[in-house]
Amino acid sequence: MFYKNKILFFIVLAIISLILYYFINQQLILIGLLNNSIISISILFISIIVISFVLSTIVSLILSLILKLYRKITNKKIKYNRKFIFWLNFTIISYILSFIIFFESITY
Amino acid sequence: MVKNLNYKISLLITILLFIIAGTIYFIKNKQYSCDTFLYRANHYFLNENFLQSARYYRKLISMGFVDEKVYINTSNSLIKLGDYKRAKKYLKEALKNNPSSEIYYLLGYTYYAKSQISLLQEYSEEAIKYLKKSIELDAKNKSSYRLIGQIYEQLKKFEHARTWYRKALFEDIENPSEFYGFIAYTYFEESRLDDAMKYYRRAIDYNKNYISAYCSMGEIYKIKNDFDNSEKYYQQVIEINSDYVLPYYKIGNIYYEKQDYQQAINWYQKALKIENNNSIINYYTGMSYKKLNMLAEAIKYLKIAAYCGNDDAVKELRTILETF
Repeated sequence: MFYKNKILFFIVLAIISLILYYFINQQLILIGLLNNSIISISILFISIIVISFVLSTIVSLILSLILKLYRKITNKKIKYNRKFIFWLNFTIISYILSFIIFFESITY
Repeated sequence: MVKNLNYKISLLITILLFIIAGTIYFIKNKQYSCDTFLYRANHYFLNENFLQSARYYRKLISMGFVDEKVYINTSNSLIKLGDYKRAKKYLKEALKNNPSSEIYYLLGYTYYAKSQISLLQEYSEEAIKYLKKSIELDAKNKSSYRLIGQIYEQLKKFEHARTWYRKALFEDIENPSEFYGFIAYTYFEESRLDDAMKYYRRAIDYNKNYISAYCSMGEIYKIKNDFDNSEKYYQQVIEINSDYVLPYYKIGNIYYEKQDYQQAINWYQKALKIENNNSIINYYTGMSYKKLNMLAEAIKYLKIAAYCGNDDAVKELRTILETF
């Protein structure tokens, strides 16, 4: 998603983090540093990116292993754009993660 | 600008995500019922689970449920959680709907609680301002009088504190003994022991079971080195509540000061029957045995005191072990 305009994706993610903060703040009593909206939104934004990065790395690794195995079995070469697949995983996981957080924060 | 297919799909998925999220939010909110939330919030509030009660009360308010009790309980939950800023916000909203003595009291309490953390006098002044308004609306609001007095006590303005306690007494409030006790305490803090005793006696006249007043009388007599009267008052506390550890310990201390260590031990033992892991009582029991040169017993009790976190007991144990 937004493969050729990655900054746009991060802007969208920042807007999502802001919306998520609003709902989390409605549910929980954020005390101390977390009471500061800018800090909380930043933490949320970075957490989504980091978790998505880790998960997409794992998914990409698993995918490459499966492909290697497929190559060994069938002796066929499959060409694919690694960067694109990684980015796609990363963005989809970010959206899914954001959606899960949103769903949890509106559930009472 | 829509440039290529990838861009179009990305934009479409993102917009779709927002639409789905909005729809789910709308559907979920339709399913929520105010009655269920009120029941849950009250249940958590009564069970002192303030995090959960604040969560449900705040949701209720955001759903447009306007009720003074809900605002009060929300603020109370937030105060308990230390979120004074939000508590004030809800109380001020409640004031707009229906100004009442209780809400003004809670606002005063919020500022008071904040002053306890920040140690800023301006919060105390703000608290007093709201508490006075609370009294204007309900002249018999005991809690407001008490809190104003308490704030003045902390500011060391004892005369001001007494003025407000006397105002409360003038309003013919229920159970005036407490307020006589508060006045006595202000005199005690100023070391005006005779005046303090006068008011503690009045407090006892109104409430024969006012343990705190008896204990304070015992303490004052002890300060005045009148050990017999001091013991008499502590004995009265034991007559009222024989499970209360303080009078046993205090009588033990009287004998300790009189250097009658065997009697002191007898009283400390009685106290230890109620609270066997009390570090101070174990320390003084150990010290009494030490004074009687019964070192094995002394070490036994000092060890318990040290184990319970008494630093003096640790030092004493070191001294005993180094000397012998």
